[in-house]
Amino acid sequence: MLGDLGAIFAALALLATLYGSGAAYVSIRRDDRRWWESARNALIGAAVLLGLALLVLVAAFLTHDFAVRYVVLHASRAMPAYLKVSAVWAGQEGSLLVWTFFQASFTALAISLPSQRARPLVPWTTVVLGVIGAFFLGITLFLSNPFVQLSHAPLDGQGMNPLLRHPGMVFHPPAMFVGYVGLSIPFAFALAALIAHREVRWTQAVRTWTLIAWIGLSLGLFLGMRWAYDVLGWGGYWGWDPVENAGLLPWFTTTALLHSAVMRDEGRGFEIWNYVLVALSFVLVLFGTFATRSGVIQSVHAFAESNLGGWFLGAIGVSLAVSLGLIFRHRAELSARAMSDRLFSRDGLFFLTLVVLCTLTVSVFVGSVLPTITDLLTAQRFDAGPDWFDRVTGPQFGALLLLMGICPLLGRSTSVFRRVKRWGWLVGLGAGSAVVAALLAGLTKPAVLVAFALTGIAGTTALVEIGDGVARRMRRTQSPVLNVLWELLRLQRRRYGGYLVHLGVVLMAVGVIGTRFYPFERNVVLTPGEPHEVAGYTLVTDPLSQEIVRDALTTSATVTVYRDGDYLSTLVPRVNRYEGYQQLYTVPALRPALSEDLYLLLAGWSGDGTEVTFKVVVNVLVNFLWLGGLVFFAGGAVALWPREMQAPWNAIAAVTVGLLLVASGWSMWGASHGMVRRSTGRPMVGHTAPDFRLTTLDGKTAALTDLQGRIVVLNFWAPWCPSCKDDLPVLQQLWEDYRDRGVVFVGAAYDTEVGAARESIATHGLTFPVGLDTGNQLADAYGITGVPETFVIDAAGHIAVVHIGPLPEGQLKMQLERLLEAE
Amino acid sequence: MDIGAGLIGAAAALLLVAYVARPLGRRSADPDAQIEAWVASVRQLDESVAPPEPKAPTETVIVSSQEPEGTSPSFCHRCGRSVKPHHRFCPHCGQDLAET
Repeated sequence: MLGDLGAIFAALALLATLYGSGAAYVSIRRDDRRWWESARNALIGAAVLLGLALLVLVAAFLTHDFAVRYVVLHASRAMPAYLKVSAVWAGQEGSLLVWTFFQASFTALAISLPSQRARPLVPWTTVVLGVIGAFFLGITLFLSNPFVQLSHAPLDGQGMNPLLRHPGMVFHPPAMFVGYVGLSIPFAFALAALIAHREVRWTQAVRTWTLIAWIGLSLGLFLGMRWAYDVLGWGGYWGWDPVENAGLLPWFTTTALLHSAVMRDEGRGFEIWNYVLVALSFVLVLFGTFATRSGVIQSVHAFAESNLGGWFLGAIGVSLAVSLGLIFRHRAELSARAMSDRLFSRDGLFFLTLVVLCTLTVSVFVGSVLPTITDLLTAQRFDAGPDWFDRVTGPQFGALLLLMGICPLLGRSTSVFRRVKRWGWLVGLGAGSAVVAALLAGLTKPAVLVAFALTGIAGTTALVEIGDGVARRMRRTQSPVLNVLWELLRLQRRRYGGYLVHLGVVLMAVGVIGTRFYPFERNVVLTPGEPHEVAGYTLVTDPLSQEIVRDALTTSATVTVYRDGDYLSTLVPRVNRYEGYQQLYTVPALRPALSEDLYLLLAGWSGDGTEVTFKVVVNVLVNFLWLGGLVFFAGGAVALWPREMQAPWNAIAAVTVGLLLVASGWSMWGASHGMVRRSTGRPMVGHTAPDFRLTTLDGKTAALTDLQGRIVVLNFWAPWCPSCKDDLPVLQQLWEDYRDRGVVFVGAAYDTEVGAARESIATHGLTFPVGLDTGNQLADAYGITGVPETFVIDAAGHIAVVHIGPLPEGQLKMQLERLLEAE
Repeated sequence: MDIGAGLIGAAAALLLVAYVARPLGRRSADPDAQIEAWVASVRQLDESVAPPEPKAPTETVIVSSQEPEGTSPSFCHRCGRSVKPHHRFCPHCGQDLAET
């Protein structure tokens, strides 16, 4: 039922889209507005139908309709509901359906509510968007249909790829789609302008759409970075994988487009740049889809190979031929206004910025296709690894930082260097302080100091621009600073939003510099209970624990982290093994700090659990990357903020987008990352034992200060704990053997009540003093992570032995003997 | 094919066709021409009604974005956006236009 319904809705949407494109063309030919209105209605109808089709697919997931093949492949009954929703875009067929829905909705919005300036372009835009929509819809329906049904429905589905079981996966793919699909809108308007109305300033007319696409793309990439950091378990956020690059390529060209559009709007030429960049952005989106879906380029992303490659290659060819052909035909008209030929002018440096963004695009493109091409043409395959990309793109990113530092200071017309002369000292000071800060932090590599100087220049310039604007306006209006800042952000959204974005990029650059220049990664093998020094931290792991949660077997290690003997935090990295999947889902544990993240992965363990391997990664300054992202998107939001909040639609859209942003941020950062913060941790061997005062059940008091000079065995146990039942008789026996030799045994009953404790004592015939650990005060002071745990404190009051979990046979006896001998 | 799905699909198709065909049912291609025709026919019905005096332009005309015919727009040399000849300060960035 659901499968049929979804297919019918999608098919009707395809018919409506094809009709819409044709009817819009008829309206142009006959100069008849009625046909265009009919076309608009058809495209609105297509968007509604695809929305219904998408709801049908969601319903199929939520109701476990395993007659639908796509549901069987990507869901199982045990999955939580939010994962079932994100399973809609877990595979190619569903992703394409979401894509077509976004395409149809954006199309309907763009042609129904065009800006005043864009009106003349709308009929041709409708034709182009109709063709694009029909292309994707045709591919979805005929080559990659999510509504294909099985003749016999299985009882349960296969479940989702473990790597995609992350709450952030609800937001990352849709954000990417907003970016990818959004880029088709300015592309269509640009084609319309090329075909019929070259006098129209299309960059201004579709500015909002370009911004939406660019912010969507940025957000998608950013969330993807965080997902990689969280899930892929290599401790990094960007691996120059072809799929990542596929998203980055159009981001470069769209960033360039935003800048060349500024030049065009200021009347400084750059017309051809705008057309070429918008065409490139759209074609690179198609290329990214081709690259990731065709299996031509190898990637870590688990997309299935498919037969769509040829179609996307064809679409790339057609889009390139049409757009470049039109640009070539009208080249004389488009380059009528020449740019300034001075390099050190606003035009000149904007031009350089565009050139660097383009060389970055080419570099990343070449690196992505090189393995495939060398494989085809020569016998030797050249694999461009992360090092290759870092080396090639690093200097270019540096050049971009320098341009960000100089360009905004240059004057717009006559006195080009007036502001450079005025503010140069401050920018130089900024660069100097960034270098000094790096030196003080111990980052001394020459390349790092150069990079920090560049971030200092770019950051100071952005701050100077904002500060200068505020100061001037304050002089004029005599209002307080915050009011002025607010007014500037409100009145000149694009300008000051842009500077905020620049600031965000600078902060992110700091994070990139730290992580790329100071990578630290080591595999360490830990024996439970024994401390291990690595990268200035001391790690002590508890024995592994395993439990079954839903459809996964979870293995987790509890690691206590110290620095210089002081307790820092407790980290719990996990590994989930899902039924039916070979791939493991690793949940790293993080201890974040502004200077560095300690990133711990459970990498493996020996069969008897006596050796546990951890991958320890230290990411220097990585949190500047995430902080920079925050500033970046704040700037993006300022630039995109609607002029008229009175219009209800604008307010609704702004609130919705705001909520989605908060939710996506929470999904990536809010969920716990295996870190437990406590006031104290388990004291390390050799350190002073925390003092305690325990009232025993027979009314006496056991206090550590009174027991100075004697060996104390402190055992945490609970009546409800099975392995404690094995330990208690052993302890009783040892107590009987050693009480005469000056050894004191103290039992602390954990998380229980008097009655249960007394019953246990009677059952096991315990005679050593046992006290109730009320409020778990003692347990907190000793940082225990479970029962039983046993501490042996020597005569000097230092921790001599820590046993986590059940006592190994005979070991405590040996240790007591050794301690008594030492005295 | 499921009967229920077929029926829902047919209903959706009918709704779609009706919605798409609606604008085509209008008589005239150009809504503006149609409105003018209506106005003309109303005028003919009552010749005695004199057209109302055109109102004097109000203050709002100055800030409206409509360019008066024939005047070429000039641009702010700081932010590059268009400004009117009578502006002393740029309405977009506040630049003193008399400065240069």
